[in-house]
Amino acid sequence: MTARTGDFDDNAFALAAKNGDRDAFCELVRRYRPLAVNVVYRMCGDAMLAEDAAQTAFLRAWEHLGSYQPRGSFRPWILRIAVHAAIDTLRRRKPEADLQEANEQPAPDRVEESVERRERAGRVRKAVLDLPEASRMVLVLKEYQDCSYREISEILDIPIGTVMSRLHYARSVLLQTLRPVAEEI
Amino acid sequence: MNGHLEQWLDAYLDGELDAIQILQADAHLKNCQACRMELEQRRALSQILREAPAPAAGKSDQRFVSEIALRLPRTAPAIRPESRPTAVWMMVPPVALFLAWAFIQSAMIVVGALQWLPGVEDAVRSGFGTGWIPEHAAGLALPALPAPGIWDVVFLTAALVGIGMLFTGWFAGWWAGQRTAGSQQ
Repeated sequence: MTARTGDFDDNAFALAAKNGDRDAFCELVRRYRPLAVNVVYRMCGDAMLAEDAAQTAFLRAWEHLGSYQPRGSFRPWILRIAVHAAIDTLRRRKPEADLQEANEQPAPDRVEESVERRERAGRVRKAVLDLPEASRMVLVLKEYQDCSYREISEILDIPIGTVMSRLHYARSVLLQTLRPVAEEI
Repeated sequence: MNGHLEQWLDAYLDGELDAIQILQADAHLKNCQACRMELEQRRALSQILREAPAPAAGKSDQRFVSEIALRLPRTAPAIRPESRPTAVWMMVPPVALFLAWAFIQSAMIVVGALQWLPGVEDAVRSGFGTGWIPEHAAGLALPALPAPGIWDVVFLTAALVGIGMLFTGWFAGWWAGQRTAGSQQ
């Protein structure tokens, strides 16, 4: 597994948290919140739901810290938990594409450009959400988390060949669905 | 390389091929316009996906972390040992060895006991004339197995019981160890 910047610190914090250090765990939460929220959001398309699911994922991470082994990296470990939280969230609630970016406030002179960009982003998000869950998960981990095939294979517990075929399928479907978007750019 | 690159195209795009595979893919791409176009489309798709905005943070970092900290259990995470083979799998090798040994011993006891029965020897010898026992096996038959005495049977039974007790003792010790490790977590 590829070593990333901060892995050493992450492992030190994770080991401290494993021994009951809540501050160390809160530091990990602060570091990995964007990653966890992003994964769930790309899977379910709802920012509020993504925050709730990410909190659930961190609570689960605390429960499972006892089994964390610092041999690898903390990132795929927490990603794996976030992915399962996303799957649980999806099972509880059908995905609904939130096509409005609530917190984006464009400047008045760039309103038109901003509306276009938001519409395009909404279409992209909807196309991703329409993919089958299994392919979407692989695509999200590759495109939004930049995981290697090996990491995806370990996070999702599937062979690398399956990672390749699901990714190929997801991209092929998106190429068809998003052809108009690609032509606009 | 026959046909088109298909899934290799994604692996090529994602930098997942090894040096030899890259050379092969490059050679194919040089001569295949369809694959070159597909590669460009997939590269553009990746760009579109990655441009999709990340979810806007709904809560401040501090609030997000505080909410998790409030929901954390008071106790430290339970330390779990690395996954161990289950009790059933631990039992397989000794049980298999024991069964194999018991089978061989049982077979010897049955053959020995048959020799005690009146008329068995004559019946077997008469088989040589009928053709269902080969003539050349005559010298290998009954004389090779001396009739066991009562002490042979007692010894074999005692050995079986002894091995059974040894195994049961080992298993009870192992099981007690497992329970002790479990209660310490």
